[in-house]
Formats: sequence, C-alpha cells, structure tokens
Amino acid sequence: MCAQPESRHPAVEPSDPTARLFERISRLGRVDALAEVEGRLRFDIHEGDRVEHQAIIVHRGQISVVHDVDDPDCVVDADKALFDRMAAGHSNAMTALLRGDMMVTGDVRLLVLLERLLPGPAGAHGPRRTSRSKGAG
Amino acid sequence: MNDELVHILDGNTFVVSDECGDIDPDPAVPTGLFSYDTRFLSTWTLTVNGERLQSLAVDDLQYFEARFFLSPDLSVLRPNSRISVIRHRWIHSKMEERLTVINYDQRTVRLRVRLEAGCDFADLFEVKDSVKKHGDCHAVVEDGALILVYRRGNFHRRTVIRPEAPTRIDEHGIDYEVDLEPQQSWETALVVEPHVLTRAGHDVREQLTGHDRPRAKTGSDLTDWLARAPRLRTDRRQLENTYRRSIVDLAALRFAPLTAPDQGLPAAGLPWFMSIFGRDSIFTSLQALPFIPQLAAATLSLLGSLQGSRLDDFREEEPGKILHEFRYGESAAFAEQPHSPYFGSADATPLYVILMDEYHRWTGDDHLIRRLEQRARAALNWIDEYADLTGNWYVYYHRRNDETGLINQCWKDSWDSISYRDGRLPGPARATCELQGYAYDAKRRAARLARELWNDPGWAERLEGEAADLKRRFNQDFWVPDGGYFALALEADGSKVDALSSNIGHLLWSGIVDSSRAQAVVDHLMGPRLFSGWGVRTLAAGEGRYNPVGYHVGTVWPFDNSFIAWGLRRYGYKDEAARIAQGILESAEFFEGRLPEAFAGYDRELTRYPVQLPAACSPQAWSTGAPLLLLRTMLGLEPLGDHLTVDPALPEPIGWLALLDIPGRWGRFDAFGLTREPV
Repeated sequence: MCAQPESRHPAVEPSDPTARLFERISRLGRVDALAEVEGRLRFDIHEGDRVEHQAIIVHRGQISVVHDVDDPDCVVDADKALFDRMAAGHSNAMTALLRGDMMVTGDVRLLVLLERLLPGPAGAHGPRRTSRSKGAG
Repeated sequence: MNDELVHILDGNTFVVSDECGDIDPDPAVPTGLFSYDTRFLSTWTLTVNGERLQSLAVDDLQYFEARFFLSPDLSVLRPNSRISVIRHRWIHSKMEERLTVINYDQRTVRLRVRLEAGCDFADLFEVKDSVKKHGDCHAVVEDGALILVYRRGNFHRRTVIRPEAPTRIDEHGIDYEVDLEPQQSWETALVVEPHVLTRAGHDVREQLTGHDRPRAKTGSDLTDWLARAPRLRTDRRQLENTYRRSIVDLAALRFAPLTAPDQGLPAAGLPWFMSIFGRDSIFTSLQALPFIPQLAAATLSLLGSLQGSRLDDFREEEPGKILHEFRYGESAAFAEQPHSPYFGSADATPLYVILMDEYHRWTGDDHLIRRLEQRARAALNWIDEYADLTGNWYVYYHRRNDETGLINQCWKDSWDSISYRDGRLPGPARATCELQGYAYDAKRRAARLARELWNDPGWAERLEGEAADLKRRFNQDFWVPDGGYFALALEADGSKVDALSSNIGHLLWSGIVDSSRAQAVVDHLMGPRLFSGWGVRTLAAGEGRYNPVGYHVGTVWPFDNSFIAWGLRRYGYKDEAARIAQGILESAEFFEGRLPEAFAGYDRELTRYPVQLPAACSPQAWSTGAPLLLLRTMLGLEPLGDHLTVDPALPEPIGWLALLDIPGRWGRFDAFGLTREPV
C-alpha cells in the first residue's frame, strides 16, 4: 500500500511544537498499540495564506512520517496554532473536532489514531498513589 | 404540561414531548429534540386558532415513531366544532412530522394551524440547571425553511425546520391557513434536521466515511433484528412479552459513535445517558451475548480504539484504561466537562478483558480477539501499573479531577454509595471489593486467551499465578469476621469498610470467593437484610446509610441482580439464582416488560408491587439486558468448547421454557427447561 518509510523531515525549529511533534512521531517506528490500524492520514496545516502538508502512514503497526500522500484515507484541516496547542498537550483532537476548530474528511477512525500519538497535558501527575505501605492482611 | 412524557428515539437522536407531542421550555422536565448531547428544539407547540390542543390518545407504535390523536379544547372553540388532529412523528437521525386535520363538522371551517418553534441549544448537562449560554442564538427564515442557529466561536449548531409545502414562516414558527369543507381532511409534513457544523458550514458527519451510508429503513431494520434473535416460547406469557420488549429496546438503544459510525453499540439509557459508557456498554453486551453477540463485537472494537494512551488528570486518563463516558456536547467541546472522553471508572478496564473472553467463548471469533491482543495487554498492564495506588496489588480509585470528576468510580458511582456500617464515609482512595473480583477474573480469562490465541503460555502462567495470589490475599484482607461476609471496600490503610452490600454477589460471578465461604455469602444475599422479595438490595437494611429509595443505598437494581444470579449459578446455587430471576422477572410484569433502572428496596410483603424511583432512566440498557441474562442463568447455558451446555433450573411459576436458535460457535442451538409437564 505504501512506499518504504521515509523520515525526511526538515530541520526542526526548536520553538515549533508542531514540527517537533512530527519529528517525534517519525522516530516512533513500530507502535504495538497501533498494530490493528492501517491508513494514510494527511494534515493540512494553515498559517496565514499558506497551507503546509504533513502525512502519517501506518502499516502493520509501523509508523512513518512523510511530507504528503496521494489519496489519503483521512484529512485533518486546522490552523497551525491549534496543531501547536495539540502538540504541546493543551488541546485534544476530539474536542477540536467538536468545537469546529478542526475539519476532518474521510475515515474518522484515523483521527482516533492521531489522538493516541498526541502527548497528554504537560504537568499531569497521573494516579494519586499513597506512600503508605501495605496495611492490610 | 402533562405528567406523562412520550419518548421516541433512534440511537443518537431522541425526542421527549408531552402527550400532545408538544415541547415546552421547562427546566424541571427534559423535553426537547436531542442529538449529540445537545438540545435542538426546546419549543415545539401546535395550536389551532391560537389554542393548544387536548390529547385523546397516544400510540407509540415503535420506539422510533408515535402518533398523537388530538382535538381542540371544545370549551374555547365554537361549541359544535368537531375538528380532529393527528400528529404522526418519527425519528431516523432527523425528526419528521406529518399533521392531519379532519373536519367532522357540518360546515366549512377556516383554521389557522401554527407550529411554534424555538431552541436554547442547551448542552444535556445544562438542561436541568438553565445555564446561561456562552454563545449567541438566533433564527432566520431562508429558502423556505426556519433555521435556528447557535454559535460560540467556531462551535456551530443549527436546527433546520423545513415544511414540505410552501407556507408562511416567521422567526418563531410556521403558519398554515386551512379551509376545510365538511368531512374534508388536510395533510402536511415537516422535517427537522439537527446539524453539527464545521467552520466551513458543512455537517461534520457529511465528510466522515460511514456517516454517509444510507441507513436501512428503521422498520425493516427492526424486523431483521428481531428475526436474528433467538425465539422464546414459554407457558409464562408475560415473560415472552418481557423478552420481546428487551430485544426491541436494545435495538432502540444502539448508538452509532461519531468515531465509528458503522458500529452499533448499546448506549446507556434514555434520556440522560444516550451516549457511550464503558461500563454500561460492557455489562449490557455481556448480558446480551447469547442473544445478540454483535453488540459485544461493536463494544470491544470501539472501546479498544479509544483506550487511554497518556496521562491526563482532568480526564483521568492513563495508558491502557477503558473510558467511562464520551459526550459530544458543548461542555465537552470546551473542556467545561471532562467527557471527551472521561476515564473515571476503575471497573471498565478489567470488565473489558472479561467481555473479550466471554465473547470468544460464545462466538469463536478468533479474528477479532487476535486483533485485540494489544488492547488486552494494555488493559492488564493498567491493572498492575496504574490501578494499584497503594502497592498492595489491589485495584483502587482516587479521583484526580476534584472539580468535575467522580468520587466513586465503581458502578455505584453516587457520592454516598460506599460507607461503613455506622454510615461513616471512607477516605478518598477506595478499593471496592467487586473491583478485585473483576481483576481476578480478567487475569484468569486473559490467561486462557494467551494460551489458546495469543501464543504466549509463559504470560498465561504468570497471569494465573497472580490471580491465585490475589484470591488468597483477598479472602483474608476483605473478610469481615464478625459479619461473615466480604467488606464493601478497603481504605488506603487497609481498613475494612464493613457495610453489607450487594457487591458480594458480584464476587461470586467473578469466582474470587473461596468455596468454604460461598455459603455464608449466599445466606446473606438471600437473607432478609439484602433480599427484598423482588431482588437483592444495593445496601442491606439496617446499615447506617440504608434508605430504600436511596440511589445506591437500598434500592434494587435489575442489572445488579442479573449478575448476582449468574454468580449464584457459578457456585452451584441454582435454586437461589432462580428465586432472584423470579423476583426480577415478576417485577418486569408491572412495567409492561420494561424494567426500570432501579426500584425501591421496600419489602415485597409491604408494597406488593415494585415502586419505581422518580428520576430513573427508562429504557436503561443494562436493565433491558437483565431479563436476557436471567434467561441464560435459568437455563444454565454455558459454552463448552464448540458446544453449548444446558442445565435448567426454573422458578416455580414457569412451567416450561424453550429458547430456540441460540447463536454461537455451534451454529444455532435450542435449549429447553421444564419444571412440570406442559399441559
């Protein structure tokens, strides 16, 4: 279905969260959690009048990032500012879709895949563990 | 507003109106046209010559349609006016309405028929509270339609009301001038479409694969659904009625998620819970497995695709966790509520693994379960890595979203459900007993799948070792010696929250109870403090917080009882399981076969009929599934390899029972039960 993975991502501006996100995704390689997902997901990233493309190909759990794909299964269209917020964990894809800030065309199951590649909010604490050692039994 | 509300629904979209078919803005009563957790009509009233109509009868033909037979109030119209109005309404992602006005008068009449329309676009969470909206509402008349609009930034929702025939439309409604000769009738139709728009003005769903497929006509779809389910024959006619009601209501509750439109999984209940709930969808799928196994397949696929992958304190998400609740309304979109999705549930994750195994035992669907291996691994990892808050290998919960998160993240999720005998509430980190049972069962079942399908016998052995260890420790740590039962929960320091509750019944279902202790548990479940005569109470009479009409502290839940009956069968208590089946199925007869979410815990001897709670949802998916699971337990249906085994134990009022064409890995199979010879 797709060509060999190619990770020819341009040099990344350290201050560019979206570019860093795709750069990070390009280094993931195989992700077991995506083993059952197949598809090509294209991002149309709007900044002023310009539209940048990025694309993710998932094939048998192997992830690759390319500049563009023909015939994508799913297209995600949003402003760069939103992508930056998602890349920094400040917004999630589902709420962006529901708010109307993001437009999605095609196979929406791939949007769920994107969600899985996005980071959580910075500073999340995770479970409230207690330091108390085992008290029972 | 009449007291009796009429509901019609089709998965994501439903209408609640009064007996005239009217919708009035009323914060106390959730009437309206709802879709995607948003109200799309809050005013929809029909008048003739400026007067509201009177209801003569309502015919709710199917779950997706209703017919209202109406007449003008004779006291305000001319005394000899004889006008009949029929309002026929049906739902299939949009709402359609056909009005018929008939003049039975001796002379010609001129009527002004008006439909008043308006919308507040309330989020389902705002309906009760009349919250002030952040965005702007307005109405426009455009291209022969009345369009109600709500905007908040790019958040754009729209209701399009389109009359079939051209007529006069203003921003508050639609008018018809009707001249009718004697015995003449007039008909017209309207369509009301709820739109969820993108910033480019398209409906979000139009551009997504799957949402564009033409849906089967709801009527023929229902016929197919009924034809595929097993047939029930019994001498207890009311049971046939309850069974049919359950199968039809499960068709009505099928919900097509935004992210998987071709999947129909059970939504939790009407009107407040028409959405995906991990726990409810899983329990309902388990109950329905012998009857409608495709619900379980849809539930496993969808919940797996949305499995947690990161840490998020607001949504209480963790890697591997199965979601609690997913909403599409404004409060989720703007992160005023965490439901996008919200993960505050400690049981959905082990239950997900349990459903995986039970689904495979019934259907033999190797393909789906092989595909879900990574989902199972992540779920089991969550149990060990994220649910063990104290380092003692028990599943605990302690909410991290202190503003809008749930205090109790088990099925009894109201704030006061977990308490000591004396009514004290424990600290915030709680390990309820049934969670440990689910974790035990999940490990045992995953071990079977690891060996048979996932080709990892080493992992299977480890899981079985962990499960055996958990069972041994659980029987020590949770046992309340002076009560002779298992504690409702442990606190973080290991203190036993010692109230007697229905949760001990779930422990039998999971198999975590030592056989030496099963009899004591059964004696409590069937004893007077827990068993009301209709079913097992959520909390035993005599406990500090016991209240027979308290949501999780004394009421009887049909769903809870169906799993307790399954647990009793697991430990060989056939007659006790049959008594519970009898109580719950007889109570269903008081509700025309549709069990409510819960009813009061009063003794059966006291009230003689089951007292429904005022705020209970109906239909509620896992109440709808309860009669199905009870049929399974009465017949003693268990898959064994490629065969279905049957070991019936019917309660006395049922003479014989036949369930024909039970689907599964054996093809189709018939099961029979008999307590006395058919006459």
